[in-house]
Amino acid sequence: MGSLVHYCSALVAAAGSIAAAVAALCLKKNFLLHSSLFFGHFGHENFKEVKQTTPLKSSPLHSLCPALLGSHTKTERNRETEMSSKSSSTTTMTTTYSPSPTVKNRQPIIKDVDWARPDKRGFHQCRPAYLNTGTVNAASGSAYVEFGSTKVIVSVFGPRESKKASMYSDIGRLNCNVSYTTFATHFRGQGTENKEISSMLHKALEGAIILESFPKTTVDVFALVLESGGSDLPVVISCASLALADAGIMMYDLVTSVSVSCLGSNLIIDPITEEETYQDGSLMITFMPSRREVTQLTLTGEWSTPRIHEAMQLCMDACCKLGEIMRSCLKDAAASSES
Amino acid sequence: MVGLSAGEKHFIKGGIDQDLRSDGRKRLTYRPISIETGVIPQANGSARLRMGDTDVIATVKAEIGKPSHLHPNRGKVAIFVDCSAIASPVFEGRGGEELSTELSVALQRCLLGGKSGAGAGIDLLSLNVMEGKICWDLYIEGLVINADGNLLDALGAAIKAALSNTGIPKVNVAAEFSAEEQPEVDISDEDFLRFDTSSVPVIITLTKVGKHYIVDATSEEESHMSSAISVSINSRGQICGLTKRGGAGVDPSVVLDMISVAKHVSEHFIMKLDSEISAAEADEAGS
Amino acid sequence: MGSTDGIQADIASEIEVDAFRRLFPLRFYERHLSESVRPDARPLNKARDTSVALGAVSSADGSALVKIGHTTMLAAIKVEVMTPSLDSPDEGCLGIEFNMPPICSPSVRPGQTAELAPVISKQLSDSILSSGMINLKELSLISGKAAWMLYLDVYCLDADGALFDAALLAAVAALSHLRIPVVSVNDDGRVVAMAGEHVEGKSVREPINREKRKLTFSCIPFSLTCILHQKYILADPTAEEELIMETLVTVVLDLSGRLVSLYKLGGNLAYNSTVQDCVALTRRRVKELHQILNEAVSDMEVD
Repeated sequence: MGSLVHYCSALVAAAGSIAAAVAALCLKKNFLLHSSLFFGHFGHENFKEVKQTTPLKSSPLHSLCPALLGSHTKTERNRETEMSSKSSSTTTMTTTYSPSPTVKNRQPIIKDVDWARPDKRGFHQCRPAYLNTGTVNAASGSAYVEFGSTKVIVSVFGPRESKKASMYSDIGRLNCNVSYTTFATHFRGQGTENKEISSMLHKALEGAIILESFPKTTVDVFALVLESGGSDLPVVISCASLALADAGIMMYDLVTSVSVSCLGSNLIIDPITEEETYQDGSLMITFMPSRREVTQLTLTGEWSTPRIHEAMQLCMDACCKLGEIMRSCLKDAAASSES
Repeated sequence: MVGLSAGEKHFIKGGIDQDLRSDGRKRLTYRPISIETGVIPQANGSARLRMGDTDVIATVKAEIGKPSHLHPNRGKVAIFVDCSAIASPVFEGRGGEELSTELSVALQRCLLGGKSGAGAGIDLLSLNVMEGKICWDLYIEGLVINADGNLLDALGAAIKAALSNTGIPKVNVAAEFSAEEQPEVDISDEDFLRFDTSSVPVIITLTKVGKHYIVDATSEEESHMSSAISVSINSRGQICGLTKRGGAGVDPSVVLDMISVAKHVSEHFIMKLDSEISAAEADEAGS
Repeated sequence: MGSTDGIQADIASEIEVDAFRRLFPLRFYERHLSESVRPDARPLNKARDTSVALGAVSSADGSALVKIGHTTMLAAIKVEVMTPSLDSPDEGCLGIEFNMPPICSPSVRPGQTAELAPVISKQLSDSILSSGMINLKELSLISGKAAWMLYLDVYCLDADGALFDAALLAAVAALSHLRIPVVSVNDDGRVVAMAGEHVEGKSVREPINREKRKLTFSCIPFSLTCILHQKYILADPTAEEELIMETLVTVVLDLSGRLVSLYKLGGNLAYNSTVQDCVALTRRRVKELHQILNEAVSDMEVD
């Protein structure tokens, strides 16, 4: 059987046809074209045939219309902010609100049999990805990953002395921290650390890192989500494992992660924010492709066992593909730094 | 958390291999459960659950609030867990925060279903009073009094008991009001609506020790675990939420195996829990 | 001892150079300075390669990514509606904040704001507001009732010296990229965005502004940070240089050469003539930066 998952082929020729398809939607000049100037090293798109990796000359176009979608805000433990209206934000002096509409213009998606995804992807198609390592010069290792409009930077510092740990331990410590910029979500957020995602990142990575290789010290993994376009946690996890590999921290295997949303009777992979808001259930897997081990699995909504099986299979295929792409990105980085 | 010597670990593991745990239970047997409802009179609903030595209290408070823009015909539910310092000195101050966050997130995932509300254990539509203007906000709090392993299962069961004990007061809305003002609400003290908890799921945590799975691990057994899966299953046998805990990697076929074992265990557990809850309600009504 | 020209590919001397650099950084730099050159082969008065890219973040109304050498800054603007204060009913507001997230530097820990962040935040805010770049009256929607509040957030993605320069350039670039969305007032008196850019047939609501508009700028500030050490002036320091040599002078000029701000915080005494030299260096740099910014803006317009 052919693989269940195929990716947008983003060769330059194909980009032309995609460009024609998305010409009707708002186009924004992409970060990508310029980031290639900055980061100097070209990343890779997800391809059907993984071997074809061309450097990104033309910017893959993001086909999402922003500014019309009310996205969910990340909530903190504070009850008041959780329950208050989503469209107001407070500053110390004035109360301001965002003029964007919060009511969605796509109501019951499930009833629409011919429903197509907003960015014209197939149900089992992931967004085109851009991967890059060595972005932050000040860090031991770093990576920048873009999945559609979800953009994440991860820096790894260490192994270095830990200020928190006071006791001797013969295995290393891992410290994770994920924060969002204030402009990452559609409505301006507070820009604080997100503890839930930080702890999930920690759990996803700790099974893969060989902690015994750096006793008494700590490895710090810091992530900053520049723009949140859906499926944030899987992107953060994949980016973090790229950054760890870039820093030379010993790991059992690269950790890749993909999430699947259940909308009515459809399983769609790598959902965007709009799809996530209306999902009936979601499944996120963190997978080590070479060892075929699941380090983290979270599931929400109502599922029957065969459905779970199908979704897991879908995710694992996608994770394997993503793992290969991450490896080729790292190999290119190593090759170019030697030359 | 208890520190175990190598000999103790070996003992526990060997016992589990032979289907005999330290307290004499089989691998898939729960500890005796006792439930008391209505322990906190000021709350709309409350329950205290003891599972062996693990002791938790769950309370439900309902307040009038405004529904969110995205879902104007639904109420809102917030779940928080507090690991108090009574349970363990480690939880003092901010020490228990990580565990509390993990438990809160896992409970929210299990009880609230997908974002669109499908598959939710609690029917949010029943919390609606007036579409777009007034709804009930439920604040569900879990308090851990004594932690001896298997906190998630205990909290899930306690919340189910508390919800069945919850009475939402009937609300009369003033008939005439302009579109801009908040309508006047008259909360009655007499009539209460009971919650239908038949679709609230229970959470089963399966801990993998060596090659076997055990259910309802004590804290000694938990410290020895390689990985665990918490599955939330409702009375129809549907999986409502799943979290893998523990850092070690696990083969996907093992995950599916654990899900089927959990389903098998859940039927028995749900029956037991329901009978305990109704016994507790009967006690409360009688006293 | 360590040789100053790393041209010798001899491994032994390279290792010595690196060790010398770590152990005696000041002497390492002074040996370079006496030849009027810096370890990265720049002359003393030359700044690092600068590049500006607009429209980096699509969820913000205006954004820019600036790189000076390795220092990377991302600035983004989100517009919201506020009620103007009673004593200035025709003016909007601009809120500027500078953040150093833990990814940018090993010295920043999560949970604690970096020491430099509020300092640069205030300097940035002062420079932009006092330069008069933005006319706050342009941000008014309905006099006395509604006005625009611009939240400008600058995030440092990689900290390698001259943070203020990069932050100011990023802020200015983001403001040039900003497009105020089309809005109208709905029945409840709230300001709402119009769907899409084409406003046809919506007779019920009159849009307040016909199309997405840009702000007009009167004078754009640019800056240059210099380090003073003995008799040398080093323009655009890297983080290593900033650590070793303490006296920093930041000069903010606008295009016509007028002085907007001058910062010299602590450090050794600086003579008047030295400060004048810094201002002259800044003047040259301003022209370069203006050209780079214009190229970036025209690149955006073309697409």
